[in-house]
Amino acid sequence: MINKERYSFIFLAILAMLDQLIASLFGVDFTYSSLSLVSHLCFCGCLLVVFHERSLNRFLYACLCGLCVGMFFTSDWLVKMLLFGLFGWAIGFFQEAMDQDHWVQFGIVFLMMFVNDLICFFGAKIFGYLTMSFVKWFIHVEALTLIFNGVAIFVLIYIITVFMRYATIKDIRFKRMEKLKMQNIRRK
Amino acid sequence: MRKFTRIQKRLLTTIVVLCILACAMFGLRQNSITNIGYSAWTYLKYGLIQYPLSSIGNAVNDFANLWHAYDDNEYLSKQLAEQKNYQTAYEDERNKNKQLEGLLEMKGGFGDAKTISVSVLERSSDSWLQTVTISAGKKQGVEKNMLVATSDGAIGLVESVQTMTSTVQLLTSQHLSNDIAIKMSLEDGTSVEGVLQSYDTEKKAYRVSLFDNDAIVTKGQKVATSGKGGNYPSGILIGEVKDVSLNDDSIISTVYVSPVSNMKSFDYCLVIGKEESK
Repeated sequence: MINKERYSFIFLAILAMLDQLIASLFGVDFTYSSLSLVSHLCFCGCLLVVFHERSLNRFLYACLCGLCVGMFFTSDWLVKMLLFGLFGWAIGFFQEAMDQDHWVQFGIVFLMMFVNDLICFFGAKIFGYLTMSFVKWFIHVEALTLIFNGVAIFVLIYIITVFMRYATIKDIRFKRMEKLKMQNIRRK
Repeated sequence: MRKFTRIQKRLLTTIVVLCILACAMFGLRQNSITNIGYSAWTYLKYGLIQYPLSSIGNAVNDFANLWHAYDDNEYLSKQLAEQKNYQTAYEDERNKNKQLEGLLEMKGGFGDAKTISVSVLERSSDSWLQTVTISAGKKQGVEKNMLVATSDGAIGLVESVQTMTSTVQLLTSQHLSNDIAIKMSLEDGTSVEGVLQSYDTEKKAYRVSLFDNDAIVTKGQKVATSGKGGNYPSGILIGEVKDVSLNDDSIISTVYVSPVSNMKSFDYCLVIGKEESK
């Protein structure tokens, strides 16, 4: 049987490293004169991985993911932990809809990613870390971010769907094997 | 109260431990004495995660910049190749400009003499030192036996005239159709006249016969036209005395005059005739 938690952890770790790599290659232009993008692969991957879990599990998984990303890759572990936890818990309200259609999955994850960015932007504005206007931020940072992460969400959905099918097939085979073993033991 | 499952307990424990660790690191950061802990943590984070990833990023950027360097190299190589062409063209234009400036300066010194500025249309390699074709003819007022000069001095006589072009017999041709009357100013203030008869290919100088064989002629003396017996004014430089040939009685028989310096290569010249009759 496949240990889904272990593979999920490795998958999210890889996504976090990819986020860091993309940030190194395409760093944000803080003069806001050219277009920039911020990668949210780990955030989107986390939501897609945890949405089918139970309420508390979702929250704890997401908090742990946010905490690790904040500690090892960025320096805002508390904010990341709270945001990841909040959205990880909130996505559970759309579990049934997300189970039915991939487009719904895409739409909800995309929307949550955007709301996450909005919270970060307005939070920074309220506390005085940012002075630029919303329109300028949207054009110079958020637009390209949405486009890039929008495409990335499709890729992540595909990867996770393939993995889940593979895990299901493995489970079925394992159960079949176990059943055969039990039958052989009974015959003896 | 609902009990936590095993997985939930594990997650909670992990989160709590990491939070404590993060708070401890944050607290250590404030204390300057325990910077070792913070530095060790930062070193680990930087060494294991940030540095490898930024190295990969830099490697990709460097590779991308190689293509820019290649494109720049191609462009600069092309520019360099064109540069050599530009240099050649520039040198050519500069030489022409120099000739024209010299001719302009010379033209101003002729007073009322008839001058026609021309360019060399044709100069055959078979008769390089014999004839040239110039870009002026009857229509521009060129007449036979007019003198043709470059900025350095006289180079030939007009041999034949067509409507728009003329043929010039150079002074370095072996058989001159007409002799040129010359004058030489001597050191004592007097002058001696003579005739330019032909060109000596061995000595590479004009053969000039003087009317006064007793004249004292030294090397380097300038020889100019006398203005007599031709369709050209006086004072146009022919060349400089190169050598003097004496006969058995120590009387000057022939004076050898070296041609002007740019005889072998010129693009522009001046056709000079006598003063226009009023």
